[in-house]
Formats: sequence, C-alpha cells, structure tokens
Amino acid sequence: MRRPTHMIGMLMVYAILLLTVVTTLLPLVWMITTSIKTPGEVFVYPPKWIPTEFAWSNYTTAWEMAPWNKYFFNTALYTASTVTGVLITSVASGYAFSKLEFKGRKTLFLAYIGTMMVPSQVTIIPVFIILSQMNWVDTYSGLIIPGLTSAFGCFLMRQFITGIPTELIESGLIEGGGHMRILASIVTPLLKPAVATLGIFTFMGTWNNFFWPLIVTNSDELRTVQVGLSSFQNQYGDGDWGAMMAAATMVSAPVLILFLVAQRYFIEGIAMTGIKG
Amino acid sequence: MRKAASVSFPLFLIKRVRGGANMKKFKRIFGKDAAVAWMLIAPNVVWIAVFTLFAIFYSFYLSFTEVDLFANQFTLVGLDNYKQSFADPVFTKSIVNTTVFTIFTVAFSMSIAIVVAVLLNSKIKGRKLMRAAFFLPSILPVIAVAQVWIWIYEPSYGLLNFFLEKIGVGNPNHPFQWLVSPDTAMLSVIIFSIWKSFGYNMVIYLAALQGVPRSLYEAAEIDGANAVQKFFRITIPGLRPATFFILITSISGSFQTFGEIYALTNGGPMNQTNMIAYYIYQYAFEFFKIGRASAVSVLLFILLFAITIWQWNSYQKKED
Repeated sequence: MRRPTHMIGMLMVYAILLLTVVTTLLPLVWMITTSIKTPGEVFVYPPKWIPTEFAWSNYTTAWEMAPWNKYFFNTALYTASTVTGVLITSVASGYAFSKLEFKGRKTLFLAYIGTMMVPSQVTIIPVFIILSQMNWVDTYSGLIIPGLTSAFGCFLMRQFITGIPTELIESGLIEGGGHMRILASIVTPLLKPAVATLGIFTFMGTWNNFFWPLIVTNSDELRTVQVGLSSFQNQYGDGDWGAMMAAATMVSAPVLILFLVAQRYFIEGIAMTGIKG
Repeated sequence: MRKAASVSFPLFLIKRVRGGANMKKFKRIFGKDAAVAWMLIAPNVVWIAVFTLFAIFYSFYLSFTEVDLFANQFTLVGLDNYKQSFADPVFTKSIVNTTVFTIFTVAFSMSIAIVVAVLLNSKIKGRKLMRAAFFLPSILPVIAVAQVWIWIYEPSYGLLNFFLEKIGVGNPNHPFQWLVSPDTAMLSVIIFSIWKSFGYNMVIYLAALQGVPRSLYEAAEIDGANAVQKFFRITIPGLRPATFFILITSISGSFQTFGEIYALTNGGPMNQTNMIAYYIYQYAFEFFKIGRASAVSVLLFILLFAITIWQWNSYQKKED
C-alpha cells in the first residue's frame, strides 16, 4: 500500500478531482461574487475575485426592476400545488400498481411508464390548444392542473411500495381495514423517505420548469420566477451584470438551500432511478 | 402471483362477499381489487389519456392541417407541412445542429462522468463533498446558470477569455466572441451543457459502481492487471446497464434541449445553434404556424422512438 508509485497515483487522483471541482464550482462562485460587487468593480480587468466592499444594492436594484414578489408568489403556488398533487396521485397509483390485483395491471403499468419517453415538444402544442379551447391559457388552472400527476412519481412510489412486505397489508385486511385505510394508516407512514425523495424531485422540477410556464402564461400577473428571470434578462441584460447575477442568485437560492439541506434524498433518488430503471 | 396470498385469500373473500353474485363475477373478470385499484389509478389514467395519448393523436392530426387559432379554424392541407419543413434549410440545419450537439454533449458528459465516478470511488477524503459539488450544476435552474455563462463568455470582461489569456491562448485585441460568433456559438452551448449535465450522470455511475463485484478486481490484481486494464476490462463492462440508461435519457434529453438555447443564443447567430426543439417552439409560439410546428414535432417523436428502439435492440443483442 505504501509504495511510492501508489502515493503518486493518489496525488494525481486528488489533483484531477480538485481541478474538476474548482471548474465545476467556479461559475457559481462567480455568480455570487458578481452579485455583491459595485458596478465599478464588475468591469475591472483583470477580474477581482473578492469584492473590496459588499454591495447588497444589486439585490434591491434587481428587486425593484421587476414584480418579483408576484413571480415568487406564483412560483410558490405552482410548486406547492404540483408537489401536493403529484405526491397524492403517485402514492395512490403506486400502491395500486404494486399491491392490488386487477386485470391488465402489468401491461397498463409498462404502457404508463413508456409514456415517460414521449418528448414534451410533441404534446405541448395539442395541450396548448386544448387549454385554449377551455380558456385556461394564462390562468393558474392551466399552469397547474396538467402537471398534477406524474408517470415518474408513480414509478418511483411503486418501486418503494414493492419493498413493503405484503404480509403487513394482508394482516391489515384481516383486521378489517379496507385498502384505503391500509394505504393511509399502514403504507403511507412507511413511505417517509420515498415521499421526501419524490417531493424534493418534484419541487426542483417545478421550481426550475421554464418551458411550460413560458408557453402557458403570458401576463406578468401569472409569470413564474424562471420566465420572469428570462424576461428580466431580455430587458436589462448585457448592461447591469451585478443586478443580473443578483436576480439569478435569488431565483437559484430556494433550490440551492433545499439541496444543501436534503442532499441525501437527491442522490438516493437519482441512484434509484438509474439502477432499477 | 404472491405465495402469501393463498393463506388470506379465502378469508378475504368471506369478508367481502356482501356484494353478492354480481360482485363475485366482477371480481373474477377484472381482478379481486379492481374497483379500489381503478379508483386509485384514475387520476393518472385520465391525465395520461388526455395530456399524452390524446395529445399524440391530436399532434398527428394537427400536422396535416393549417391552423388559425384566432378564428378557431383547422383546414386539412395533406402533407404540405411536411413538404415545407423538408424544403426549409433552417429545418435541415436544426437537425444537423441537434445531432452535432447531442453527439458531443453526450459523449463528453458521459466520459467525464465515468472517469470522475471511478476516481471518486476509491478511498478519497472529502468524497461526499466533491460528489455534491459535481452534482450542483444539474439541479440549478437553467435560465439562471445560463445567465452566469453569458457573463463568463462575455468577450471583453468575461472570465473565460481572461483565463485563456493567462495561459497564453488568444489575442487580447481580438478576443474570442464565444456565443456571439457563428464559429464558436455551438461550441459554447456544448461546453455549457457538459458542465450542467455530467454531475448527474456521475451520480448514477457512482451508484452503479457499488454493484460491480470487488472479487473481479481482486482476481484481476492477482493476474497482474494494471489500473487502465481493470478500467477497460472490468469497470466499463460492469457499468453497461447504467451506461445504457444514461445514454437513452441523455440522447432524448439532448434532442429536447430548449431552455439553454432560449437563454444563451435564441438559436443564433445565423441559426448556428437553432435546434429542433427550439425550432418547434419558434414555429408554434412565435410564428403561430401550429401545423408546421406539429409536423416537426411528429418527426421528432418518430426519430426519438426509432433511436430508443435501436438502442434497446443493440443493448439486448450484446447482453445475450
């Protein structure tokens, strides 16, 4: 183990990894440091890594330049409704596909999972037309309702629920509980890690979703932070990099904080879809 | 068929027989839990039926029509939308761009991911911290991080040109134009996408590496194999299922690249970074040519379907 060649090898491994880490994180560090630089220091060449004075004013400037409180409210509503809807429908359908016996269960499940491969560009135009026929374009209903179920969520929950012993459910049945009661009082409490994983994934996907809100909303009243950030960029981009980076940091912050707090669930969720998928 | 069910199954029938003969018949035909099961899956079934299945058929229909959304008129025009698409040089260009983008992004993202995963899989200090760092770009909103990269690619004050000058690449009087120049725009978009995606793939590889048996490495060591040989003879074959999974999802994801293009280049300069998903968006929601856009989206659907089937077949063949 202590051979010199081994030492050199390990040093090289560390060197390569550290270099990759630095390259990966540099853009994010750059985003944050630029966001707290004074306009004078943003355009200093060579670039300054740590600002001589912290200018929080970029955040207030950015905040005043667009109706961010509306954007954040809309995104919070959109995200909270989607997470709630997806969790409920995924636990319910995952349970049915995993523990209940009905004709065509396997075929239906495979067909359902197969729909995950359908690109959103194929369905977005017809769905947009359906919504416009229902006068749902540029409304909260149109923004939220189509995303309340998820094939991925159903798949993930089924994987978790399959791991719950069937005996547990059968003993519940013998004690006289119906499947709905078993689902609520026996299965769901055992699903905490799964619910956390799916909840976090759905939160991230919805908070970060750009394509769908871009298509289905068009007034400032209904815009989400991602679409808001994009129009902010179109209006004020190229000039005020400090304010731009402040806005980008604000929009990234909730996902970033969630990641730092609940990193384990992110990693486990991805590992799980990758291996068992 | 579960074994444990045989014990409780009769009990279960006795308890639930209240429904009478019709109920029994229903249960025999549709399965014993059919009623409650269908209730539980109803939302998912309805949603997928409307927003995916119906949508796909509707998409096919729309691709043969000319749509006037304001007048609510749908006129059948046969194959016109397809003919016009194939006659459009921008369409052909977007297909070529998408292919080039996909090949380079997926190849580099996966190669970096696999190498980093293998390196991280040894006894390394700060392993979890590094894993988190690599993963970070993939969870951040694309519009926000695209913004940062526009700033990094900025020709006169941007970080990238500064670094390149430091190591003696490039001429300060003629800085690289990155996103602005037709020659480097695609390269810039690809670098951005590799940066954003490799960490996600790396996490999948890292998890899959736990499933490659240690005994294989030990046997190889006894036979005197070096690190490179072990990597190519044991690690790469051992990671085949993960590679297959990543390949399918990455290719499909790459073909649907939209936010990156919208934020970084708007498809420009001179359509040099216009890709198929962005092209569909432009035709549907900027030019309001719903029929044209639908025709292209149908083509995208068929193309991705064919690629997936082809990958699946070649994967199965090699497994045997």
